[in-house]
Amino acid sequence: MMERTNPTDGRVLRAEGLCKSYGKQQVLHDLDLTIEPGCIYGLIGRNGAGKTTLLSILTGQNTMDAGKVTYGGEPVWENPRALSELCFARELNATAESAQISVKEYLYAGQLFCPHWDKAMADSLIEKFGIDRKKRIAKLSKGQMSMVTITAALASKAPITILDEPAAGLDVIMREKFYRMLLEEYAATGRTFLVSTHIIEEASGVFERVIVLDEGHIIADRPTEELIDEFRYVSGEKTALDAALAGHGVQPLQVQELGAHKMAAVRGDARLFAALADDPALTVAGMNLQNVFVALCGHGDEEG
Amino acid sequence: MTRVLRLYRELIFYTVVVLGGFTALLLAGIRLTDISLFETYGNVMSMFCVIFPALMISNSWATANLAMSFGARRASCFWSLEVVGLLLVAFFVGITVLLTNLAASPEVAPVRLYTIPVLVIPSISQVQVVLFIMQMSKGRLRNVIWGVTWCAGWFLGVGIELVCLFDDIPAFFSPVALTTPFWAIVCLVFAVPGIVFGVLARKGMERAVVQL
Repeated sequence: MMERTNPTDGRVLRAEGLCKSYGKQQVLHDLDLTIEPGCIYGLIGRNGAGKTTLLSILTGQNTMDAGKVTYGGEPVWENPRALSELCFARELNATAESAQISVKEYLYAGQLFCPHWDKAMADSLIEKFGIDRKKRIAKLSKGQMSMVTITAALASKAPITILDEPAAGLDVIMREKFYRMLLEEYAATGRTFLVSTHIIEEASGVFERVIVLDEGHIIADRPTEELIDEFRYVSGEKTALDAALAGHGVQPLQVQELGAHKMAAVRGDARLFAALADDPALTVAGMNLQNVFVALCGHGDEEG
Repeated sequence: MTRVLRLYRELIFYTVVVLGGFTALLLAGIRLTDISLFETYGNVMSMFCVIFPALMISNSWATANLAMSFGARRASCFWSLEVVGLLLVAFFVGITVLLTNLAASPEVAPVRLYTIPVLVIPSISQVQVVLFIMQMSKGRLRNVIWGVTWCAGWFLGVGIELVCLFDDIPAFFSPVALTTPFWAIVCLVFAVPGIVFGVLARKGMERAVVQL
């Protein structure tokens, strides 16, 4: 589906040299990012990696200390044209002052400010989710709040739609339903979606491209399949494995030991993996996106 | 800005209608019955009218966040809040004038032209102070400023009460009682913090993090 387009395209959202600090803590470090049209992006990172800060800066809802964010070459900040093309559907919070409004009022705000808003779609989704429109947001369950956020995101019809942890409060069945709706909408409209999530493995089949944010740095921005293909688990007897990895000059990203047995997460190319697989003392196995994420961002926390 | 104002109209409309209806009820009660309760409530209502705009604006900050979360410009939200604040002040001063003049109570002097600044300027200044406080991130500093503002408000109220006592003015703890041109000039002092906090609120809103 995705075609990499010319960066001068009118619908490219771009961040260059983004820096952001809260007090003495620097959250984003000289970060560059390009969101091109017609793609579902996944943004993954550990708690406190700077995901929500990045998303809010991309949509002009937070300030930056340095750098710039442009949409179609124009700055996003206070730019009505750019702001009307972006929708940032964020997690609702029951304790926030704004949670005192009703679902109906929340959606009315969406209708007022999103020029592409599809009211019929919003009504149909709220009906499908069985949410009482008159209910205050503060009175909704966490799952229902997620459903309202998803409704606003999909009904906004914004060319670039950003969802921050949309599936956080949903049960597994609703999460499946959400990913299906997202894919249907994407297939029908070709809109760009940028979805941040902690529930990585379930969402990995949906993401065409994945951005990994770690301690304020983007450490990977690749097509999902390509990224996964760069990693393997290699396991075997400890000494054999250590010798094989040293022989190929490979530094394991993550290591787990059980007695004399050892397993290492390794980043490399097809030639390296073929060479390791040829060693009869070793077993080479593929990884999923969650394993890749742990290997990239675990920093040793996961060692067992 | 029109869209932000439409959102405010949607969210504030019912409160304004209810307060307008309550005022009409009080007026009818004062004019058509001998029940003193209506008059008492009328006097209390006129006192609260000075702080109602600031209270309602404090609730409107969440609406500004909602609008900005859907892509409204910060400048549009700020100027819409200013317009809404001014309209609320006009509405509540109108109620005060109606309740004070039409009630025709012998206890309360009618609102004269020079009483209007006494009502309007502190109300507008309070709106600016509240706007400044609300755009600050939740935290200790915001709580401190909020507390200091309320304490200052209470001391001011007590001060008015004392002035009324010493001047032998029948007071209802209300600026309506301050009916001499001198107090209109004194109230110009309130314009200074109003302007300062208005400018600070505008600058703060430029840096505010949108939160839902």
